[in-house]
Amino acid sequence: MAKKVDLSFEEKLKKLEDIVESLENGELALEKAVDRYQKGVRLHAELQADLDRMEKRVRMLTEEGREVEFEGAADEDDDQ
Amino acid sequence: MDSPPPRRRALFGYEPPPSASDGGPLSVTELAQRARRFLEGEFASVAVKGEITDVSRSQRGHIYFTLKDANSQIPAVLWEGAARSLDFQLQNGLEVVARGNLTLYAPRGRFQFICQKITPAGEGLLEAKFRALTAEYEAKGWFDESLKKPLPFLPRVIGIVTSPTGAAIHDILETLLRRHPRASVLLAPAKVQGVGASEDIARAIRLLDGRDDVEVLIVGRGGGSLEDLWAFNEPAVVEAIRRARTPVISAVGHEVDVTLADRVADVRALTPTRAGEVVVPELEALIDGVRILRDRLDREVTGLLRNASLTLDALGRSWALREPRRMVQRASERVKELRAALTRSLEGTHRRLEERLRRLDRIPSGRLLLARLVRARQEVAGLRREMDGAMRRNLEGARADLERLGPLLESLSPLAVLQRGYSITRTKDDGRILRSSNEAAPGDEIVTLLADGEIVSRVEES
Repeated sequence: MAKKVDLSFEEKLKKLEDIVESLENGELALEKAVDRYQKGVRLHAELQADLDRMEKRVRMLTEEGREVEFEGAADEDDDQ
Repeated sequence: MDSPPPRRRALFGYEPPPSASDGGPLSVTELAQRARRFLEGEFASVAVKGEITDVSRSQRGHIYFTLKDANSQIPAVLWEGAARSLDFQLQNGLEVVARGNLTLYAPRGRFQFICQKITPAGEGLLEAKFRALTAEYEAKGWFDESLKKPLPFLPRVIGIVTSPTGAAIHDILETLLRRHPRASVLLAPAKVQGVGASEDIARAIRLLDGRDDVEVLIVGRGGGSLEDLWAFNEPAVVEAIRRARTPVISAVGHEVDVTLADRVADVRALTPTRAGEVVVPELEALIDGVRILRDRLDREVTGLLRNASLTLDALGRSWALREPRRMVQRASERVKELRAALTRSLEGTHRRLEERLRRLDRIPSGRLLLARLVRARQEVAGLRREMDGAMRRNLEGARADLERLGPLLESLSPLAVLQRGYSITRTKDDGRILRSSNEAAPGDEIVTLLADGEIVSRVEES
């Protein structure tokens, strides 16, 4: 199985959905259910962290390969 | 006096025909006028097919160009009014059918075709090239659906290849950041039309494709004529898109313009704005979705635990749990008793020794006595060490006993009991645990809880 750090946001979201659905089907033994729940809580925390870590960045590559802030987009309707 | 008729100035283009019968030479103007009238009369309304070349636009909006074929050319003009209603771009190499009339522009002695209406005829050079390239890439299978890569759900960094000053980058960013205000974007600026544009675009695509953090590419520009968009039909761009490992969204122009870049891209966005929509999910919907999943998760497990604790309560009242508890209790009582007995016996020995020492003390002293005393003290110390050791060994034994009993207790836990084949039966209606056959009547639905799940059954007889 792939390591947790390698999972994309989408894969984690899919896993969490699967866990919730398997619990909602109600066919799991208690121990397994609790185990799934803990996995679910962990995935939720990771997804939350992924979203929190995101940060707006609009950059442009210069000819020398440097990255600079790109201001071109912020015109009349600059509402941030 | 027979003077020549007064020369009359042409008014509103009208001038009576000079009479050839005068016999005298014509002035240049007179000849030009006659030629003009002739041309305008003879070619008052004519359609001509030819290739356009030397296109230029005057400040007033008139378009001057030359109509030509292999052997001849005619200067032509499209006046501003007609030029405004033109629904395609006049450009060099384009084959057209022009309707209008011939005239002569006297100041230059040049005849000219005045276009009233102009339509493309067949295909021009660019169209032919477009068709040839389309056929080539279709034959190679480069437009096949099977080659299309899926877009990432939530790209870490979105790479964009377009002009940093065009309308496209503005449209893309506006939509993209409205949907996902925390997106990360990296723009690789490229020239999107004119000489060297295709190489520039291809280089920018390769640059962004080579980066690990860029997980999707948008390649595009605003709408324009076939010529304006031509770079997006060039093999350099088509090949750069096809060879990219990163999924590519094309966003060229408006809906009607299909370029080869659009066809080879993994996803075609009809406009740059549309590209900003398909490239990211809405952040708010994402946050909501994750929260809702968590709520569902919690709700399910709360329900499960409530059921489980009801089951445990029921089991706790049964013999299976009371019994092991009593066993442990008995064991620990015995350990306590042992410890007390041990302490009593050791303490007795110690006390007796102390007594002997005290008695020795009362006997008249001497060197012999002193030596005895020292020996006795050593004896006491040795005994005490021994006593401590015995005590420790005993306590360790007691702890080991408890450790052995722990797993036993665990093996008798409700789940383990169920694992051994016991089951609990409850009524389906109110979850009451059945302890007697009298508690269920034929026809009642009952739920049997087993180690790995439940069985629902109906009572036949009781």
